[in-house]
Amino acid sequence: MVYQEIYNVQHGMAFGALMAAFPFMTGLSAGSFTLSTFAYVFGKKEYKAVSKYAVFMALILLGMAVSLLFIDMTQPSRSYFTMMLGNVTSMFSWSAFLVGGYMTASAIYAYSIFSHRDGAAKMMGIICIPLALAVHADTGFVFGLTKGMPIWHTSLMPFLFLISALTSGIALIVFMVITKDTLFTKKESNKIDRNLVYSLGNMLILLIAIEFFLDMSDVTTMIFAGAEEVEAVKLWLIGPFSFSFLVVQLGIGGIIPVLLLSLPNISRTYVGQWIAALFIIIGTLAMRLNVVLGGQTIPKTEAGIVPYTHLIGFVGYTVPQEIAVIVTLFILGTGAYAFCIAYVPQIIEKVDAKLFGKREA
Amino acid sequence: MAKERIQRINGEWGRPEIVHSNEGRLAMVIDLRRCIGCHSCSIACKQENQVPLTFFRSWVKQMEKGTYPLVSTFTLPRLCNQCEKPVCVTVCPVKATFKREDGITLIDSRVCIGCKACIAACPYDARFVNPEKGTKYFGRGTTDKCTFCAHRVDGGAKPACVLACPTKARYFGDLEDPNSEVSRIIAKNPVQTIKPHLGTEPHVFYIDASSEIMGRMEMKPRLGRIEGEGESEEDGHGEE
Repeated sequence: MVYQEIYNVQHGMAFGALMAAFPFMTGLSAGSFTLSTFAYVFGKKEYKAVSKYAVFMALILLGMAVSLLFIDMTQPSRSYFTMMLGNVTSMFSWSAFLVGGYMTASAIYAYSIFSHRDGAAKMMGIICIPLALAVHADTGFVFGLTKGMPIWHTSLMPFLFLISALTSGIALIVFMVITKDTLFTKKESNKIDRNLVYSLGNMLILLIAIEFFLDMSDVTTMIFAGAEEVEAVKLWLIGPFSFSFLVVQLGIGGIIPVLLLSLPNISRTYVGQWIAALFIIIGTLAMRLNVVLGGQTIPKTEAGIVPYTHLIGFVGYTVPQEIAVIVTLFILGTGAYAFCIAYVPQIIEKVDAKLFGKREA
Repeated sequence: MAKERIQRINGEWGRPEIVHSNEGRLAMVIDLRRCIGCHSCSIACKQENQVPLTFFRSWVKQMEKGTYPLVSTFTLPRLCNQCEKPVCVTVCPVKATFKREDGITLIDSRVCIGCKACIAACPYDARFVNPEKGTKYFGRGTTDKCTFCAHRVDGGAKPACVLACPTKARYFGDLEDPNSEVSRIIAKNPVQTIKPHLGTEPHVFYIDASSEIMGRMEMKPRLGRIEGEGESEEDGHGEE
């Protein structure tokens, strides 16, 4: 029997590219934060060197992620309502409280690191790790609890988001440390131990393997599920998102980095590690786009596919304008990060000395 | 009394008070054997509720089935399903969307922050961002949807689409009252709802609806799809 839709009303996608960038950024933040706690909470002293780079990265990325939400909201002037009027069943409401709590706690954690209070840093770290993971798992639940969307509605979503958050966060720190050591740091004593970076690379292989397993479980379950899920998984495997899913997410974000990180000749070079880290970040971004935009591409009551609507808030922005917003945010974030690395430790030490007197490191 | 209720819905500022309307459970029955696909309901809704161009609170979906010479057209008038267990209410972070005691789900446009979680969560595509609602300053619109014409219902009138239907395909009334029009029709006829498997318990019932048109099935896109038609326009006005 031939069916054809003659007329229907389309209201377009709810979330645009910015809402896809939001879980990407919170993921990077949660991942780098977890890395920064290795030294202070888990007692792995060798990771102390990367801790301070990771904690600033986590804070600034979280700030950028929250500003993305503000840009995407149609009524940003009312955003404080989320704090006043909570809703227990709403994952967005949980997000607001968790992000607020995580931001405050990780700022205190950063302060205790740079004022050399290792005990306080450990305590704050223990408070912050569950918060950081909860922030990101909650982002997974925002999508996972939407029962109208077959791609989103899976119990694996929070796990997938968490694992890819750790992967991309650690990859970002590897990428950043290698860039810093080869381009900006001249003194050999200020550079970070190469074996430390390589051990992070080994960790990445394991995390990519777990993520690959979760992805494959998700896809396989959808292939053997109901009509809506089969339609959804077709979009990833043979539909308009197949390049983004198969080539970018699984190939560039999974197989190539694993090869680069495990082949004996390449894995022990900074070039190999750097490219692998960059590819992992690109792959994670593709994963977020596949989930957030891909999930909405399957129409709920219409035929065909939903075209991408360029939405920042309500005003219909074009793709170049959206890219401009994201690039501006990145430039601001990078600037803020450079400032933090260069000046904030000294500022904190001075403030701490004024407030609590001189302390021995 | 009715006027006071309307003021409370569209008032100036503050938390939404859950308006206590007439008791019971409001529902609509649409008899597709009578529907001729004239789109009168869409136009009546637009006029009544001042819905901006390119957006619809109520519309008619049309589908063609079969191959020449055995082809027929099927219609499905669409609107918010006023679910018994609405997903949109659970996802709203500020409780701007709430369900009244008589079962109508409303949006308080003074509280909505425009996060669009409800638009993504609604399985029926009933919601959209209305650019003409919201605060005077800063405002770029809040979420909007069919309200079962709550302002008319509170005043004792039927929704605009029900009155506008030339073939009287729509019935509206209290489902808890066994003598009401809707109760009698539902008792006598087999009725369907859209996507019942999601457990939202829609309260818009259809008589004689074809399963292909109810949700998303594997279907060809509509004929003559205009490029970028689903996109929102900046000023809410058409090209011409």
